[in-house]
Amino acid sequence: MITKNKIAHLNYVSYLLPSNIITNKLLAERYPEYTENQIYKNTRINKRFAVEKGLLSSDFGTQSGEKLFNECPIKKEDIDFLIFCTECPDYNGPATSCIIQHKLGLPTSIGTLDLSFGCSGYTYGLSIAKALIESGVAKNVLFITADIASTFLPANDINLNFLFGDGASASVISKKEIGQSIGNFCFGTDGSGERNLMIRNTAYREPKDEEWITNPENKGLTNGRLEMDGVDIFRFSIDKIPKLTEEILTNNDCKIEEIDLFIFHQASTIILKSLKRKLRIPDDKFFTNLAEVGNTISASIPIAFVDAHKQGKIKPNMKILIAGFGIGYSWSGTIIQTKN
Amino acid sequence: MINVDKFTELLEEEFEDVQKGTLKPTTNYREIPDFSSMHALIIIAFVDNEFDVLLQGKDLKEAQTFDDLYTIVKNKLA
Repeated sequence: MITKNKIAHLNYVSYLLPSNIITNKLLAERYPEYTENQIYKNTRINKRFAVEKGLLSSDFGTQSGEKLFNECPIKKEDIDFLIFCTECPDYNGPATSCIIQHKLGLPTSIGTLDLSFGCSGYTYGLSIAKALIESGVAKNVLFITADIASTFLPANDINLNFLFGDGASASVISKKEIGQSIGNFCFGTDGSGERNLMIRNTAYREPKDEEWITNPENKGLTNGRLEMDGVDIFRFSIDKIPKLTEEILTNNDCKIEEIDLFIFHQASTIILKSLKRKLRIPDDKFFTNLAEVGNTISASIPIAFVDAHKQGKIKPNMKILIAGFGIGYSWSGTIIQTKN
Repeated sequence: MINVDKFTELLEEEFEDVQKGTLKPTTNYREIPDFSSMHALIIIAFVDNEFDVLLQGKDLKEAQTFDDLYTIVKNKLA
């Protein structure tokens, strides 16, 4: 028994990647100071994806939701709550989840909620969905994530362009047990990391003023500019996430050797490799698909989960530890258990 | 704590493309072939893993050689 209140279930998970593939060859043409091989050696990433210019997170999220309804035996009218996680909302207001309710044709009787938690967004959203189910507020929560990094990557920051890709996911969390039970969550927040990973010029603190318009770094950007202090993000990750992992294990009465699979946010190869080493996780229990999709922000955990499933790595009665971490700083995670 | 030669030798093993015996304590760590930000992260990860010391960006900026890095770690452990 890994949870105290095991009544919320992650029943369906689906993901959507855009059709534009950003290969290392394409990046090497864009950044001729690097070869394809050097890009791979620095990142261990083969490809990432990018949406068509102009596609909004409400469009991408809606498409991801439609894909889930096409793939899974649940109807739109069964959904009574929608959570949407993105770092690129259509507006500051209204909430993009309201727009997706309409675009997706979900009942007008549902509640909706927007989340802005980036790389810890999936585990954050899952915890809220679980709370809504366990408190009796909702029976079936649709949780969509859609992040479009390609809209806020500055052309002059090579490392960011090599790392990030666009991705969307859709999950259904319900009281009825069909898929995985969701365990107890642990969280962490440290707002002192505010400026170490941020999308600048997107709201009231730094409006798009004359400086924004004339700054050559912003060429081609319309929705803000991603900035990341790679060293500080790395330090944060290798410091906090092993501690988070221990807290998740304790809070679910579980030992590390009882975990069958670890799926962390697919942050970067060096972060994943360092976490694996620090936590002494064997190769066969550590899943990564970063090489094939890049860092897809809030979609990275569900994409990895589905890919692990496709590769036959998820079996009945497995305990899977999932953890998201990043912007904020924020971090969160839980253990999900597959059915017997 | 291990001596600076062992420190340099162990750190050298972390860099995939560096031939064994290439790096000395007096080597400027930024002169590792094809040095990139990735190497800085590898150094931070190695020191964290081996000595439970979390180096800061400013530590890496201040250090020139592996000997400098060793001294910084040693001072943090003292």
